[in-house]
Amino acid sequence: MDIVGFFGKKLEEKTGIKEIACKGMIRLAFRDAGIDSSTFKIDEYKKVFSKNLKIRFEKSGIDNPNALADYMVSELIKNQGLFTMSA
Amino acid sequence: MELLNDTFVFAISFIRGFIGAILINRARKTKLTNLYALAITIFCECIGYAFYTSILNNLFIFYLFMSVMWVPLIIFINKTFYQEKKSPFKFFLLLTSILAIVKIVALSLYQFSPIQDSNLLLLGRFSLSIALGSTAVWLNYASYTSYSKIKSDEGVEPWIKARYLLVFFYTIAQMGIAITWPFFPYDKSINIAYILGALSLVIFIITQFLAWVMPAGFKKWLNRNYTPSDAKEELSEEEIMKSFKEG
Repeated sequence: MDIVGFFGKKLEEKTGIKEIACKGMIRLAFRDAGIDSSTFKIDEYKKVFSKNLKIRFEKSGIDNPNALADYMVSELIKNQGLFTMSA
Repeated sequence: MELLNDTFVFAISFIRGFIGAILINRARKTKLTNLYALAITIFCECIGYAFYTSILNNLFIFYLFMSVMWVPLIIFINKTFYQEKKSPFKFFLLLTSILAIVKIVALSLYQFSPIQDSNLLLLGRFSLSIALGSTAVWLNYASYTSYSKIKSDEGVEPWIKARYLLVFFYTIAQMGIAITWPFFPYDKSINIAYILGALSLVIFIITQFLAWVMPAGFKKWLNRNYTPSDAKEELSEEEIMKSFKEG
């Protein structure tokens, strides 16, 4: 299961930006954090979404980067069961 | 009849040990600590069941393992579905702890004191049933509500959706065991409660095995109509940032 792909799709639904770019954005945030994006650890995802992804959103100039990062964290909390179920 | 019961219980115990070993291996690979908790629960059942046979026959040890197994189970449920969410974890921790004390005290009195009152055994059985049933209801609810959030998501592979449903179904079977358990005959003979309980146990084991072991052939069959996203190519960093700039 491609968990980054799952959250990339969520980001696409929220922003209307192509899925491939959304997935790429999440991967870039993982790279910035020095964390392997194949992780199953929800706390690592949370750290990346709330910090590194937010910084990436800010750098990109997209509207409401904070709200967008918060949305990703809320989707993460909502779908946390997926980490265990897809392991 | 005793041989049949022993064979059945040892088979169940062996399968549970196998599921536990698979989970330990998966927990080690994925670093998911909640899977260790689930594996501990399953190992407790594996050992506990073995002491319910006429060979190792020891009701106290059986109930001891069946008393401690609930703590790792509720840790598993909480860590899997309720991180940073409102959770009834403390309630279940308190409930299962009280029930564990009741079970251990009742069985200690029954086994190690002159009080050989069958009501003590019944108290132990009801305590186990309540722990079994209540945790089953919680896991059932948690897995189904979690499943309902992803069931129409085409990005989630069918085998993962099936795992949620298998957990949902095995917890229903677990409730069946909880309902029938207090009415099992004391002498390990067979009555209607035993038959229904054994049937629930078989369904429970099969569905739990499929959920957590998920053999490769079964997974492939579940995914037979699934086409993975063809977006294998990746954009460069500049292209990604540009896409977001343009909104």
